[in-house]
Amino acid sequence: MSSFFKALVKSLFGDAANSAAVAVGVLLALLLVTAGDAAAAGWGLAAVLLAAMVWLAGRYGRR
Amino acid sequence: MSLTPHDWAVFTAAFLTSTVEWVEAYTIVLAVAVTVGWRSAGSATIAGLATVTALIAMTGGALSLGLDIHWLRLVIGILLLLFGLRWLAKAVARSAGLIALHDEAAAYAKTRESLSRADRRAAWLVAYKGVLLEGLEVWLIVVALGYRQGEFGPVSMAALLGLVAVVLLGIALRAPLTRVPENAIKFAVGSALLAFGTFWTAEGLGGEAAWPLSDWSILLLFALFAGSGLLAVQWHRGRALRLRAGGEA
Repeated sequence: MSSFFKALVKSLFGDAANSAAVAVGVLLALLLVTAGDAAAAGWGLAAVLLAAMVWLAGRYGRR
Repeated sequence: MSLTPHDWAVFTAAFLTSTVEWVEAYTIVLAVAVTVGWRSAGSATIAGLATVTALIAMTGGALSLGLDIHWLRLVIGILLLLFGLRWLAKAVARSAGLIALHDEAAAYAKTRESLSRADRRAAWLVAYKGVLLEGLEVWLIVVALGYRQGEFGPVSMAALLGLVAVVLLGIALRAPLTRVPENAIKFAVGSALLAFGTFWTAEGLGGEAAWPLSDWSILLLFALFAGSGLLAVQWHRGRALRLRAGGEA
């Protein structure tokens, strides 16, 4: 069972750049919510993800 | 039993809102089906629905279990972001010619064969949790509308009809979807996963205040991610051509 969870975690977080991009977006959203601007949190997260999507596509191409 | 205009309004509201939730669940199940096949996606769907049914039947609802729907939204939202971002970025890279396009006819079966057990299990879990979350949201709709109405029967029936309608639509769309190029499906589903993931993550963090336009924000997010993905394809394609031209000169 533990090997299943290890494999699951690796499958989800194995791509470090992808995980880091999601973490940055979620942290930004959390900061905005904490600052009392919940309405901006979602679009802030979306903006980070858009930039990450363009960067990751180029990165996958260089592999 | 004759239904008053108010009864019809509640019934229609329950049908439409639960149908929206079931369509959202179907989108996630579709993403998993593209990756690991319909058999696995179907078993995850059945398991998700069975879990929701068991939760309702045994406990009288998820909230009485102390389950906080906001935490569930946040966890599933982040899970969808991890999958959606990778899928959309890879689909953009393929469309731009940065990495090889799959041989569309043969690659689907080959990809399924080569998928690791961990990937299959992870994809199954995504479908299961997606159906579970949407099922719980439908249950909340039924409770909210049924409570106001004072009658759970018609509202539950409306939610069930919504599920049947989406299942029939899903079966009807299954064959045509297999003729759509795999990368195009991954592009669309990646955009959809990012839209749902962004919506749920922000809602999990900030509550309903995060999205003043409510569920309509999902459509806007989908349009934003898909549209930006198409622009990114053009940009990367032009950049790759310029780099190749520079290398040949």
